[in-house]
Amino acid sequence: MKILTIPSKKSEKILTDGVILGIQNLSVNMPFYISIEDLNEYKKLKEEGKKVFIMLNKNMHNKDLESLKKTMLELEKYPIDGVFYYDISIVRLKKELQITYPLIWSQEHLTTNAGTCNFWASHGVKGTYLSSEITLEEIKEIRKNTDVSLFVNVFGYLPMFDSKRHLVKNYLECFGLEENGNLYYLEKEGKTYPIIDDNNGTVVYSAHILNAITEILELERMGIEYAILNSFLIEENVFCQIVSLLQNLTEGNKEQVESSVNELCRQNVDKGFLYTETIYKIKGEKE
Amino acid sequence: MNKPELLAPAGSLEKLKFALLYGADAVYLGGTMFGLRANASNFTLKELKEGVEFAHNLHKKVYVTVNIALHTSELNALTNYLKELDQIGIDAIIISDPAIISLAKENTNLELHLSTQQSTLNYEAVKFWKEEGITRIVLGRETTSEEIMEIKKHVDIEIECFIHGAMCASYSGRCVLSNFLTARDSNRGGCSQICRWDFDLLDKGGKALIGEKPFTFCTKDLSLLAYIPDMIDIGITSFKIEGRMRSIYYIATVVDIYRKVIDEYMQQKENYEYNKEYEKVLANCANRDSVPQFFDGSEGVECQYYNGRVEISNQDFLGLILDYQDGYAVIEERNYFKVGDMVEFFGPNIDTFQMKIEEIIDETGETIDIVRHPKQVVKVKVNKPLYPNDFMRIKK
Repeated sequence: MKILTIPSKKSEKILTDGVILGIQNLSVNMPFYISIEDLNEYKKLKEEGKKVFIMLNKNMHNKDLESLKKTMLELEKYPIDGVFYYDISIVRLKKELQITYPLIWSQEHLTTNAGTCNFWASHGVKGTYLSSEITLEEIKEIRKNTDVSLFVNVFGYLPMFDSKRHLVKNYLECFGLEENGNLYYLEKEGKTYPIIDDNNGTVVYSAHILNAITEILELERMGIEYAILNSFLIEENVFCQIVSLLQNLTEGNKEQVESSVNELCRQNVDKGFLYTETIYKIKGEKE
Repeated sequence: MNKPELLAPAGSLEKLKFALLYGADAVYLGGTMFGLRANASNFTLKELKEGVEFAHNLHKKVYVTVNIALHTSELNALTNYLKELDQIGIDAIIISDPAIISLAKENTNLELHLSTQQSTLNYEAVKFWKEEGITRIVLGRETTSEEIMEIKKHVDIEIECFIHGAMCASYSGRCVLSNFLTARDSNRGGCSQICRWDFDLLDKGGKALIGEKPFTFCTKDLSLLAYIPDMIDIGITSFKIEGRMRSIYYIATVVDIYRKVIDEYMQQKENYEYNKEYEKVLANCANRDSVPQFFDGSEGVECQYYNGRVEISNQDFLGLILDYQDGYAVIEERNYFKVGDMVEFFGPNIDTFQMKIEEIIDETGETIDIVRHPKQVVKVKVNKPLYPNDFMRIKK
C-alpha cells in the first residue's frame, strides 16, 4: 500500500509515497492550489520514485471548459500518476483529447459502491477515491467486487459541504463585519468546524480529525492500494510525527500508535464513519 | 416552439392526483426504496400502479426517483426493483448513480433521466450522459440562463430545470452535514436540513463575528415565475417544482399558477403580459421568501436568510370543496373562517373568483357564524358552481 499526502503548503516536505495537488481554478477543498508550471517543483519527487496525483475536483461550468481542456493537455507534459475528477466532463475530454494519464473517480460523497467503480472502469477509469461516509465493512465489500485501485482517507479533517455560494463573505457583508482572510470557524453544540470561503465558494470541514492510522493495517490486508493523509490545518511538526508513527506501525504497536496520534491531535479525533453506519430511513414505513 | 412539461412533486397518491388535476403534465415521486425523500409518504408498488393508471388515463406521465448514493449490498435488490417499475409502466426513472444505467439497460426498457444530484453544469458532461443513453438531464441548480442556452446550443437533449421551491445551499451531492451532525445520510434520503440551523461564526483567531442574527447556511427559496417566457424561449423541456413533503394545497396552488403562466405565454407570445397578481398568490401560499437564485446571475447576499427567516404557518387554506349542491358548497374546513370573510375559490375546472361569505350551515342544519373545528364539514352559500377538490382560500 502507498501512502499519499495532501500537503498543507507548497514547501511541505513530502515524507510519504506521494502527493495529491490542487490546480488553480480547477480544484476545490485543497489546502492550496498550484499553477501547471509549479509542477516542475514536484518533478524531483518523481525522481525519488514518489507518486504525483492531480486533483481536478471542481464542479465545472461551461466557462471552465476551455481552461480545463488546456490544463488536461498541459498535464500530459508532466510525469503525473493520475488525475482525480469530480465533474464528468473530464471523462469525455480525456477520450476526445486522447489523454494518456489515468483518471480516478473522485465524486467525494458519491463514491459508495463497487457497481459504479466498475461503470467508470468500463470507461477506462483506473481508480476510485472512496467516500468517507461508508464503513470499513463496506470498503471491504467494494474491494471484493471491483478491480480498480482504491484510495481511502485515513487522516485529516474531512470536507462536509461544498457550495458555489460565498456564505461567509455574504454574511459579513450583510451585517457590515470585516473580512479577515478565507479561514473561519463555525461553532455549534461545543464543536468547532473549519469553514473556508475563497474564490471557489464555501467549504466546511468536520469538527474532528479522522484518525484511521491504525486501520491502515486492515486496509492493506483488504488490498487497498492507497491511503490518504490530509495535513490541512495540522501543525507541520505534528504531521511529521504522525507520518513517522505510521511508517513504524505494526500489529504489535498499533494501540500505542493510536494513542500517540490521538494525543498529538489533542484528542480532537474520531473514526469518521468507519464503524458507524448512517441512518438511511428514519421511519420503518411501507414495504 | 414546443410547449414545456410542467413537472410537479407527488409525495403521496393524494398529492399525485391533485398535481395532475391542477395542471401538471407529469409528476415525480419516490418508491419505498432508493429515493432521496425517505421521509415523504412515498409509494408502495400497489400505490404506484394506481398512480400510473391515474396519470396515463389523463395522458400524463410519472417519473420515479431512484437517486440515492447506492451501496454495494443494494445492487441486487435494485435490479428486481427496476424490473417491477418497468412492469408497472412508469415513464422514466431519475437516477444519479450511473451503476443503474447498465442494470436498467440489461433488465428493463426504462427511460433514464439524470438527477440534479450529479450537478451537471456544462455541455461536455451533458454530451457524456447523452452518449450513455440518458434521455434527459436535470441540470444543477447553479446554472444561469446563459449557461443553459449554451448547453442547448451544443447538445440536443431534453433539459429539465427547477423553477420553484427550496434550494440546497451546497452543490447537490456535495453536502453531508446531516451525516456528520445527525448521523443521517443526506445522499441516501436522510437530509436533516442542517443548512437551516444557526451557528456562531468565528474568525481564524477565535474572535466571534457577531451580526444582528447568527450565521446560517439557509437560502431563500427559488421562484422563476417571471422567467417562464425566457425558459420557454430557451427550449427547456421540463419545468420542475420542488416539494414532495408539501401539502395538497401548496401543490395545487403552485401548479395552478405556473400552468396559467405557461399557457398564457404559449397562447399569445407577442401580447403576453406578466400578471403580478400570480406572484402574490405564490407568496401567500409559501411560508418562505423566494428569489431567482442563480438563473439570472444575481446570486449573492440577497439569496440568503441572514436576517432571520419568518416561517409563518400558512393560514390561507380555508377549506377543501367536497361537493356542490343547490347553490351551496360542501366544504371541509382547514383553517378558521367566518361570515363576512372575503374568500377566493380556485380549481382546475373553474375560473378563480372571489366572494364574501354570507351564509354558513353546519352538519345539523343550523346557521352558524364561525367555522373553527378542524375538518368540520359545513355548507357555504356560493352562487357559482364548484367541484370536488376545488379550494377555498383567504382573499388578501
